[in-house]
Amino acid sequence: MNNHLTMNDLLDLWVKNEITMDELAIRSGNKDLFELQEKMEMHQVAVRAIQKHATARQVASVHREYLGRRRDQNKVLAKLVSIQRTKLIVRIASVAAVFAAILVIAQMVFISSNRIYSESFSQYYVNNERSAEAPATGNVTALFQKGDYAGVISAFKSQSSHENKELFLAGYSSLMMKDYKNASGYFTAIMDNFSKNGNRLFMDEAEYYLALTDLRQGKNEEAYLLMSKIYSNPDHTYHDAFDKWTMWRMKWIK
Amino acid sequence: MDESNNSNVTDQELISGLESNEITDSVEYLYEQYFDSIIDLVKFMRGTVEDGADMFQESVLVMIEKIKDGKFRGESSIKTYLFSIVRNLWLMELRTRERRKKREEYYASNEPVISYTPDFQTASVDLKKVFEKLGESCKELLIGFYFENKSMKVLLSQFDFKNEQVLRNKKSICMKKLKEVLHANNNLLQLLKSDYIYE
Repeated sequence: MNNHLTMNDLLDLWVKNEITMDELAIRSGNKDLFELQEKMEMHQVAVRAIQKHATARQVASVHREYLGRRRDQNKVLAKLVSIQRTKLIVRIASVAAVFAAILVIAQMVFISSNRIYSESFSQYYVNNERSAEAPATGNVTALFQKGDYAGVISAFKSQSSHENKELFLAGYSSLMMKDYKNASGYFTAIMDNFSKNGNRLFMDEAEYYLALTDLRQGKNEEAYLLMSKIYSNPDHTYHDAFDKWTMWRMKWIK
Repeated sequence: MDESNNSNVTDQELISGLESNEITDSVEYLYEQYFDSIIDLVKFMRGTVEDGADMFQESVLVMIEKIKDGKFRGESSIKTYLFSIVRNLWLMELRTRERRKKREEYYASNEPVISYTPDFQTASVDLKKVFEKLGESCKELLIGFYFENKSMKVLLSQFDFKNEQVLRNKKSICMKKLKEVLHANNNLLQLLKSDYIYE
């Protein structure tokens, strides 16, 4: 064996192709070629293991760093998405709040029962047919024509019996006097008369003004039923008093 | 490799980079360019994102070995070559998993559940364990001399040894230890002898 180089050093030289196998054999003084070959193979395998491990280590390092960067990017992305999502939710909530406020205001302004009452109300005028009427009825009618609704009620109450016309005029006058309870009673009496004896006189008027009286009292469900009946009957005297828009709004508030 | 020209790196430049001992830039380029596509490929072939990431790492390693051993003849592009390695490795892995599953189903009633390590990772893991047994200074010394081709003078300045002879002795001791540990792991030793590792 060389004085300065160990077997390991010589194997290194051989692995790096700096000496041949024969030189290795001579310089190492190893005469057992099988043993030498085994040492050479083992040395080569060990060098290969070192090189493969070093390569794998570099690749693993890049792998770790790359995945780390990707995770960070994903975190940033997730944060951005989260912020955007929050902004979107806030925006949607704002729009919903504004929409809800608009709905409430719209309901108050356009869809309230008072609003519908005001839009649907039409004043009632009575014809001057004094000659054809009984004196008492004529008195009620005359007072009505003058717009003396208190007088109409007073005259009506002084009568012992009432025709549908008097009942109606008393009902209308009560409505004007904001006496909704009695107004409802008079209009309902006309409708009862129809049930009892089939007398249709002032029936359409009673239904229409009873619906309005219900609206005034906030009895929207009852008002809607009467209004639907009138709206669905083209032959009804007050059929045109309610349009589609009014009926749609009534559906909302009933 | 100049990062500013990353998008214009030719296959030849990439091969040169991977043949050298400092492969980091070239490997980073491979990750930037092909990682997502490989994940998609593995997912398409019934794998998960994690499988794809593992396959990519192992395939890059295989490709570097092939290039260093002169087995890549340049008949296809680096991209095509990498994808074909991934496909082959992944199909092998799927077959292994399938066999394992059948075995486990067969012995399910009697056999305990064995923790799972993908086959394509076993050799890398074994090699890592071997070097862990050597200790940090031995590992760095051997890598410095046999992989990074550093001279004894450079290594002497890097490690805290009295003189070059002491360093040489230390290297010999480390090499002897490595050979002993490899002897003890016959499976890995045979793989290294046949140069079949990672393939």
